[in-house]
Amino acid sequence: MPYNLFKYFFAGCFLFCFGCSEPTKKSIPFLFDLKKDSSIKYAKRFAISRNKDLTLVYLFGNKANYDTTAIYLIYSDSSLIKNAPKNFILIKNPCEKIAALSSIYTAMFFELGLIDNLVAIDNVDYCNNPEIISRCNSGKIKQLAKGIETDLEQTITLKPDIVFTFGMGDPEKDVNPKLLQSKIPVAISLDHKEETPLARAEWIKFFAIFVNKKEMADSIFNLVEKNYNALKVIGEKTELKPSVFSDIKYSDSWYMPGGKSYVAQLLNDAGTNYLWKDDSNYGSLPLSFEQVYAKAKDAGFWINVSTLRTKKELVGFDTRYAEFAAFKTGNIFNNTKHVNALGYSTYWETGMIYPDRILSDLILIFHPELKGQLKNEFYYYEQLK
Amino acid sequence: MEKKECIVLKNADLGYKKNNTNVSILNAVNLKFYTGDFIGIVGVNGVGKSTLLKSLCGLLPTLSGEILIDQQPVSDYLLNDLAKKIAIVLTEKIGGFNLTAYDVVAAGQMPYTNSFNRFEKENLAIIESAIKITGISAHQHKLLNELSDGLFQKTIIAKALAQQTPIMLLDEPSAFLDYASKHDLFLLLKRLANEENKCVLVSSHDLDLLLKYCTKLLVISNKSIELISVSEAKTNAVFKEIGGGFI
Amino acid sequence: MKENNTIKFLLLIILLVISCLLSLFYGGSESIHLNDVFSDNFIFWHLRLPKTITAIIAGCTLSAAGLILQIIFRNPLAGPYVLGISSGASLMVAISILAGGTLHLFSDLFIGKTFIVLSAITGSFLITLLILAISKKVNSNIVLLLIGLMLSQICGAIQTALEYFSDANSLKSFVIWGMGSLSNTTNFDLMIYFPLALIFLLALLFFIKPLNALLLGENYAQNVGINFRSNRFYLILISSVLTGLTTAFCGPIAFIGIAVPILSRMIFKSSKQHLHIISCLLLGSILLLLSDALANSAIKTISLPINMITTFIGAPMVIYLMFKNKSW
Repeated sequence: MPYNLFKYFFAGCFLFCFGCSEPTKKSIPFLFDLKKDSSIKYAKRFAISRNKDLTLVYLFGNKANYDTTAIYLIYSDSSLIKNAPKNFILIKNPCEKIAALSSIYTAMFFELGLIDNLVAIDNVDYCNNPEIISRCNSGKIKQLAKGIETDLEQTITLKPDIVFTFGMGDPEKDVNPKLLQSKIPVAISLDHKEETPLARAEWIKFFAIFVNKKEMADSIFNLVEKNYNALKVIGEKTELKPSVFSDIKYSDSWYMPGGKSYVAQLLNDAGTNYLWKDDSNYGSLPLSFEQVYAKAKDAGFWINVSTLRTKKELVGFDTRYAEFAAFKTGNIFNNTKHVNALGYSTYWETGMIYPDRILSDLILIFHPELKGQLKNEFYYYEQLK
Repeated sequence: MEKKECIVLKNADLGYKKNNTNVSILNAVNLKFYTGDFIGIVGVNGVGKSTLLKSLCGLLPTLSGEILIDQQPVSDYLLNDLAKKIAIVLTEKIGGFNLTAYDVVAAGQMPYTNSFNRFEKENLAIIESAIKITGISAHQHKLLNELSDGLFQKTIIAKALAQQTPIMLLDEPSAFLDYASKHDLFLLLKRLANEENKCVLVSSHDLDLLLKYCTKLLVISNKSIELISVSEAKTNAVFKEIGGGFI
Repeated sequence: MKENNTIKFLLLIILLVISCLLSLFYGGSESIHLNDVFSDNFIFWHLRLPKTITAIIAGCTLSAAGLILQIIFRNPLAGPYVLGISSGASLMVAISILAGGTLHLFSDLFIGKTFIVLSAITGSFLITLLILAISKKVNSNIVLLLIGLMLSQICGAIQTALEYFSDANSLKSFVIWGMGSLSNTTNFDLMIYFPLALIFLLALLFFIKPLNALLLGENYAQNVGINFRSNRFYLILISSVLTGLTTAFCGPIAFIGIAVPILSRMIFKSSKQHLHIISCLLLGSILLLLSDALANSAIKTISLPINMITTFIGAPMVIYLMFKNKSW
């Protein structure tokens, strides 16, 4: 684990700082006695270490080698951080006013019981939570998305204690320099870069650190982990592994999830034969209709067809979709059971926190023979009408 | 041969429209031209020679009054019929799109071909002869961009010839021709007027040429427009002014 | 001279047949053999065949449209999109894809692709009406071109605003539409696309003489009996319909409309436009068929966007011939 590198990294930092600025003896010891939080099992893109006064959160945003790209130093006593290294991002605990710029993060804070602390989200259009929607409509929660950009002025006026957003993991590149200048703390989440469903769900612990909700996050995640692994065992034990493919085409390209992608892993854990499981990509493959048809024309199941909910809509985009066996048998399922007026599904909010629910849905889809053993209701998925 | 009225201008205001207002270059023009006339148009630059010629063949609509060609107003003519009556030679340059000198001359026969522009033997013969008369046979397959100014002018003149019209209008056709060619051209135009009874109007700054070959002169100033015979030219005040004392 | 042209035409026809075959049998990732033609092979009959036919129709319509506009404006830089047709179509499609929620309003009448095709046609149609109305009031070609340019800019600006405020999924969908595609038409669509394209291409037969005359410029064209204004009106109409049709079924396809007429004039030295119409139809089809074959077989696992290939094949060709010929 790269953690050991950090001790040397910090030591190096001190020596360097010592060499050039001669800090007083009082400030050096504050970073010793750090204990790594070893409860983080799946997530690879963040790590936590703490001592009795401070918590450090490390982000590993570098695609190739998991190098540290940002370090957050969370403190309560400001006297302790007087000589903290300049590249540490200092965040005072606890953060009361939270701005969450993604529907996933909004959902996480809601699950952590912090809806009263939410002062801003990105855009209510993406939201399915009635409580949050009503607060947005009444103005209690502000919306900071201004087209593709974030409304800087509104953000600065609002003065949240912390802003959560997503990015590459390097504040210099991810955050608007003017926002950095305003000294409003910005925490970057790399949950979307995780490669497994549990790893992604474990990020609830990251968010919890900033708002003093470690215990609650741990308990949520522990339950998710337990459920997921139990379901995974059920999935592995199934005898029949029905063939399945995913998504739809945009013009000439059909973006099929790669063999190591989030979706592919869920499908594997659900006991299926995902037709592209042997591919080695973590992202999507741009295939042609021909390629997909050649491989999947007799596949038993078809999932994740964009935002479409009926077979009529599907065939309205291309009459040739009707040639797939899965279309003829009607075995098409989409994660659109609960969508808001604009078509955004709860899958993209709570689904990321509760992959066990997604897995449960998937097993239910592919293994109706196991009905007795599972919760007999879909959380996110529905069959296309 | 009997002289017929072929062009009549009745109280015509000639000019163009700019921003929805009429800009009148020549006012209240009343003139008559006959078959067999070889008329030279003189005037300083900008006085309205080109405007007159363009108005006569319908390229510029009259602002008021009317122009009659063979007793019928220009505006009442079907374009194809008008094309068989009047041919014009302008100073503008055209080219590109693989156009050769031959193509331009051949265009003169367009009023006589079918809608697929198919050239029959008679059409081809007329085109040939127009090319021969203007002396551009050696250059007929060259692209327009490759022709010298003089050859280009001859090409357009050949097109007007090929158009076989009883009326020919030429705007400064001799500007780029060499000495001999200028005389060749005017001789040709004089012959067309005399032997084929065409009505030919030529504008030119070459006063000597006009005096030598034309039968009448149309003298234009910003105050007047008069049709005089060549013999009266040297005593005409406006003409003398245009001549600047050198003629 | 004439025999030379006949040989060239024969070569083009042979090239057309070859490109057709390449597109049919190699224009995709799966391997198709001759016996697949006779069996009820879905890929051949419903994926390859409509794509190849679409390539031919699109190649014909766009190059004819480009030829017409280059003659009207006497400018080799003119192309089918110069009057704003594609911007209008794009804008309407942007409205229907990006202004997302409203799609569900029409979900029973017009769904998915039909809606997009109709939007594109509406957009082209509206711009065409506007341009035709303006062309009736405006004499000068340059003014007409400039107004067309301004309309393009306006449509583009509105489209940019829509893109800016849209969500990722819709945006992706729209951007990919904008890259053009020959694979979106089914055999059923061809039953509408083909006859309409054919009718308007045949209409050009009535304009052979005017097309030749317009090369002489407005004044001389008028003088030999061709009504510049009314012919310009009808030719712009034909060109716009041809362009609008193809843009509706295939999205905006780059390059073909401008380059093919230029290529035609470089290969065939004649100035007779009926010759060029035929050669443009042949060249346009060949270029798109070859581009399609390449786009789908260059990299085994991906099909490249058609607009990229047409430009990469075509532009060097034009540049090379330009250096050799220096004529356009």
